[in-house]
Amino acid sequence: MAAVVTGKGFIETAKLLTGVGSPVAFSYLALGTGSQTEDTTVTALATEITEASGLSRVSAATVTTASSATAGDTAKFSHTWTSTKGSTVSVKECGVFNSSTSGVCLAYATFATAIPMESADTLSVTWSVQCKAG
Amino acid sequence: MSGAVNQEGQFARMDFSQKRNGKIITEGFQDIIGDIIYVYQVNYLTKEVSNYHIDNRTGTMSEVKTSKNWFKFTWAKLKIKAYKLMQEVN
Repeated sequence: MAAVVTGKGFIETAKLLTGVGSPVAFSYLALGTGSQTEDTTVTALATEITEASGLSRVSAATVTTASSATAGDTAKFSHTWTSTKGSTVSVKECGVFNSSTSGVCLAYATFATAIPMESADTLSVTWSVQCKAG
Repeated sequence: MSGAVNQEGQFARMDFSQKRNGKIITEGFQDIIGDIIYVYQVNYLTKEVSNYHIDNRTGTMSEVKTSKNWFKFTWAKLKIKAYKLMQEVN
């Protein structure tokens, strides 16, 4: 019920700042039907949707920077999924990753209530992660 | 939920909307303003609204409301509308 940046996400970000350890930039978004406590220890979705349903992990349609406190200080990831599943899928969680499978989870959130995706429903999600002073 | 989201200096926001036959049926956002996390989610079909405020320093959820209360539903709709307008301005 709250978007959180993970500890592993911060570590990968530090690698990206330095180039140390073969870091990989974040550009994938994933949905899931499970849920877990949103805290810094999250490394994956509780139950990621992997079946062919139009709701599985994707390379985000839009990956860009935006301005929050300072020009260009915010990473934005956006995508719209269209369900192709014949039955209702209850989407409960979403995360930002740096790989098409597995990978590092930068940010994670569960929806306050499950989103019931019926066939042909669309779900648009935009993540904003700002680099800011603590 | 206590302690769940305590992460000094973090800033992540998620905006979302679900459409059916071209019409928005669910929308909401999760944002941090100061030390407080704001969670709003509205389902226009069921008129169910979720409205949470969480203290990011302690992880304490200060208010938990998921209901079909008309006033809270209307308030959440206005909040989301205002939030969208604010984003467009920015």
